[in-house]
Amino acid sequence: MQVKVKLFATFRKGRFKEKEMELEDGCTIGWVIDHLRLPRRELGVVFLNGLSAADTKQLQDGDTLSIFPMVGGG
Amino acid sequence: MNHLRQDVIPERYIRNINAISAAEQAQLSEARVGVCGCGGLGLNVINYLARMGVGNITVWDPDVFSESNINRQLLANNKTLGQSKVEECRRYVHEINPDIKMTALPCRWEEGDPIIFNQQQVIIDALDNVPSRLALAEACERASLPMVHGAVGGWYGQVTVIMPGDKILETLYSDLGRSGIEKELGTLSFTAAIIAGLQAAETIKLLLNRKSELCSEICMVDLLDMGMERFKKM
Repeated sequence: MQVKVKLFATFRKGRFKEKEMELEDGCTIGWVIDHLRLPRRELGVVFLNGLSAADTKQLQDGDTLSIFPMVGGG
Repeated sequence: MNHLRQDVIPERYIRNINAISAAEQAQLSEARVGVCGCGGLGLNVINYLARMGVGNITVWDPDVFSESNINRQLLANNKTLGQSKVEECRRYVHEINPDIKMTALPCRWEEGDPIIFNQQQVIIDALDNVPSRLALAEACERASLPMVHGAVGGWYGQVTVIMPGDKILETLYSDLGRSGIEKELGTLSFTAAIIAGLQAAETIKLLLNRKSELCSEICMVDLLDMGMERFKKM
């Protein structure tokens, strides 16, 4: 299946801004996060097709996944 | 602030009309907003709210200005180094409009009088650390107060409105005690001003019972690649 993955802010560094990824069926959001070596301690919010989603959620063909690092300054 | 007559607009607020109505301007003069944090975000939010004519503003922050604040904090300069942030803020707001009732509390919001906290109509999250933000969201939940969240790091920021019952902050900050990209990227003046501007806009909408899209959405701002995207919370 194909999933569009969008990375934001510091997660783009050394990776990409947006990419169509070919994934195996049953793949979860968490698998993508680990595959891209996104540090869990820096992980903020994740949106699947524009809705906030847990990393255990299974992806479907045609999904768009947006992954943000945590932002906490003021 | 002296209550405004609904049909007479003071000269200082004439340029707010017709973006808001005369009745809404009068409504703002009686509004009560609490701002937690008087730094990069908080000072800008208070500046915007005061110039909009919000009549009662309370701010909590125990800190004094230091040199590293000067890159982004509105009132930080060579003259104010070592001075109380909330006290400088109170003076500044008095210069904008002496009729605004500005309560400057030089303490952490958690240490202040809960009665004052509970009297607010809207709470602004202008804090700079994750545990305090999560605790503030809990306090707002307990007091059934809407909270306008804003956070910044480098060129990036986020804004949302958290209504009672909305647990979104736990999604944005899943583990206690961690910090965000601001530890690596610092905080830039314009990022703080823009996110604070968005927080002020949402606050005014809440006070005036206007529709706020960010009650159900999160706005993510990227000033480096110039993107602003909104996502549904659930």
